[in-house]
Amino acid sequence: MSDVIVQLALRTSIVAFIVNIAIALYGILSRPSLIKKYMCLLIFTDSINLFAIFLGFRLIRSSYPSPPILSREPETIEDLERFVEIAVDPLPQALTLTAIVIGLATSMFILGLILMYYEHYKTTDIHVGEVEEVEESSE
Amino acid sequence: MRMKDIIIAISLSLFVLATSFIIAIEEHAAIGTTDIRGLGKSYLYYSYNPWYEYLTSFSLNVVTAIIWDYRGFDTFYETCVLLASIVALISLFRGYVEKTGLPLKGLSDIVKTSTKLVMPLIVIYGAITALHGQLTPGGGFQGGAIVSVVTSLVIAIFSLEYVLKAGLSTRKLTLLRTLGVLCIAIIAVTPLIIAALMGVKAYVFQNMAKENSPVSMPRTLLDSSMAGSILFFNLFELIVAFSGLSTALIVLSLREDELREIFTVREHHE
Repeated sequence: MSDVIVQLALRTSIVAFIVNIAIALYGILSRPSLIKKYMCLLIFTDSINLFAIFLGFRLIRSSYPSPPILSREPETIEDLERFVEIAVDPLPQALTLTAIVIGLATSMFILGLILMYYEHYKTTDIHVGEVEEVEESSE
Repeated sequence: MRMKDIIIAISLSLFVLATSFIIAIEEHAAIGTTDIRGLGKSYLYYSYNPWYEYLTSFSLNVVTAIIWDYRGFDTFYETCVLLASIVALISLFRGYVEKTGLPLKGLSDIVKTSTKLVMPLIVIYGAITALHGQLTPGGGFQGGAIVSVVTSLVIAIFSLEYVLKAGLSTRKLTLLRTLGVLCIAIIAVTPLIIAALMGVKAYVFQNMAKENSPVSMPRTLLDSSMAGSILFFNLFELIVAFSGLSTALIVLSLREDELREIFTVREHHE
């Protein structure tokens, strides 16, 4: 019975992540303000990162899963084998860390670009910029 | 406009339905399994394993071992991406002059005093997070991000003026960051230099001795595991992350007067 509940909870959270990603995509596609687009981009990357960590999760029947960190130096090889049996997957966590750093680096640059856009057009609405450019080219 | 919204709504709901169906119902991804992938298992098994000396990195934290030992090149390029993005940000704001003497507007004295009390604690916490990256959860980038909270606190509560008075100009921070990346590169090629002097074979980003190369970084420091080069990498990554994020915070929170300066200079050039 408890197995069914756990599986249901896991699948519900997966669907919640996907809905989160879809809402963020909607914001990126159809909001006119660049700041709103930027916020949705951050939500989008964070949802995907959480989802990637979630894929490394492991269900242990007898106890709770352990983080991929040894709490003390193993004295025998059996200790190490027991740790391998209960620890979650470390690889998605390591890849997500890389993704977070690169996402932060690019998002800082995007924020600078938005600031420059605001200084130039005095607004963060993308459609205002388009109208002005059309008028300039028709002149 | 109306049509576009409907198309977006329909396609996004189809995306949600299809992805949920594939992942949650058809189980094409491993979710909540009792076993993990073989690659992850081998990392868990060899990360601190004194019985297989040629495959281990002597790091208790498996994630740090993957980041700085097994996938060291990957993380080095990631650090370079961080450096490049800051360079791009500075070149976007080129021509700005750090002005001092603008009217100071901080928060109240109570907030300022409590911030002064908290700041050293944040720095110590960030340093511990970075330097114990091989023993406990944490690492260089996380520590640097924590320490750069101090910069954002000072900018928000005192003003940008105090950051510049403390000597953290973007010029100095750029020097610090470049030195950090240089130190990471030097540590990465140190085994090569030692091996060339000894006349044996070695690899770039080598940490522990391998089967065909006996060069090894120190394994312990003061009776606690230091995991060879991982401690140095974490230390320099702390410096790189702190200076990079602080530069971005300073540049993105420039005052109106300084921003206006950029545009007058740029128009003058055009």
